[in-house]
Amino acid sequence: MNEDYLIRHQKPPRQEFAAELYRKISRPAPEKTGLATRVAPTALAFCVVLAASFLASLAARAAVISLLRDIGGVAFFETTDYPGADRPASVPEEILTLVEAQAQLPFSVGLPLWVPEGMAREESVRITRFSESHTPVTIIWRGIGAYLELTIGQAAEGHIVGLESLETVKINGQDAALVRGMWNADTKEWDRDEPWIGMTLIWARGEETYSLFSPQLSREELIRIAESIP
Amino acid sequence: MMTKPQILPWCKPKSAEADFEALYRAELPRIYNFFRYRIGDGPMAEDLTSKTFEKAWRRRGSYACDLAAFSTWLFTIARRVAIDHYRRQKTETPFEQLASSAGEETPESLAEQRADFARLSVLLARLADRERELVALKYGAGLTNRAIAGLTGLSESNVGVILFRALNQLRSQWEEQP
Repeated sequence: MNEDYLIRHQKPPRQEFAAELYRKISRPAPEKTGLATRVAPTALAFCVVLAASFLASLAARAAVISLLRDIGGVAFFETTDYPGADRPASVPEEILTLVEAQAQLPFSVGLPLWVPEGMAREESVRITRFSESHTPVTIIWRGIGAYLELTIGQAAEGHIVGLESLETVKINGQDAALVRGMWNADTKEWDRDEPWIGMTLIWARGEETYSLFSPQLSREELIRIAESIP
Repeated sequence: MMTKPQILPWCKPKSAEADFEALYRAELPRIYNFFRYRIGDGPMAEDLTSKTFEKAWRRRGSYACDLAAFSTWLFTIARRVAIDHYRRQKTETPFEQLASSAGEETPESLAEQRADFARLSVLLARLADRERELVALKYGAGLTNRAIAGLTGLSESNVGVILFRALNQLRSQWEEQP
């Protein structure tokens, strides 16, 4: 009994099993009738909304809206009602260097002075143009098996999240929201307990809203990163 | 007006789908062998492998587009699937059942190998849960100690020590029960 002995017992999966599993998982999602005509292939983090239309439809959604919460000046709607569209949205994006992006943005981009060891910032950043007044910039760090995304944008009027997904934490003494989970576009439910889903830390900073998202980093690491933004 | 949902932009769906087949081919044997060593051979290893890839496929838009990150993410899912399996089981599988299931549906010409793995499965089932998981990741899936450390949150040296002890325990029990 040695390492070679243990390794020797590896065996390839049956070819029929491998082929059938691939057929099963790559089969197109079935078409649905009614309102949901097509399942979007991508998970949604959460929805940033403009309050006017959302509140206008609040009566219709009252049965499923649980709570409207304000955490550190950022509004959150907790609900069981999947807010996504049936298809991924096509939103104009620009990929730029950070310097180029900063020249176009009406706000300053604050970068963290600390990220976990081994993580490096990508040179390109992305500006997403939801509207003239809502143009968040997204900056990404990657490490071995780790991903971190910082999004800075003009304050939105609210975020739609799942029930019991919010925790109030402190960033340098200021309230911030830690959101656990994301909307699953396949099941149209909020996924929270799966460990690979990750967390998003959201807080107001002046006129902007900052959010830090990672599937791998811990709550403490996200807070530490946020606190290191000067 | 409601803005459109924000979509995690790690991978564009099209490229993710194109890449997924290659990733599937590369990772399937590793995940499958992880479950063989973690849970036992036979249909259950295939079922849990299926569950892992089905979950991964549903969330293929939300992984970083490099193999190392994908592999880590996939094993994170697999580990959780194994934990869920044990939670559902609640009662331990008798050793005799482990031994018999280890040899199911394999050709007769491999009888000796089957018997060997059945015997090994019994010994693996006697390891502590964490030790067995590390053995499955190391010798089943073929991960390095560094990758296992990244996945489990243990230090690399700690992984080495636990594996060393697990191997000693296996060796000792193997010799006690020829």
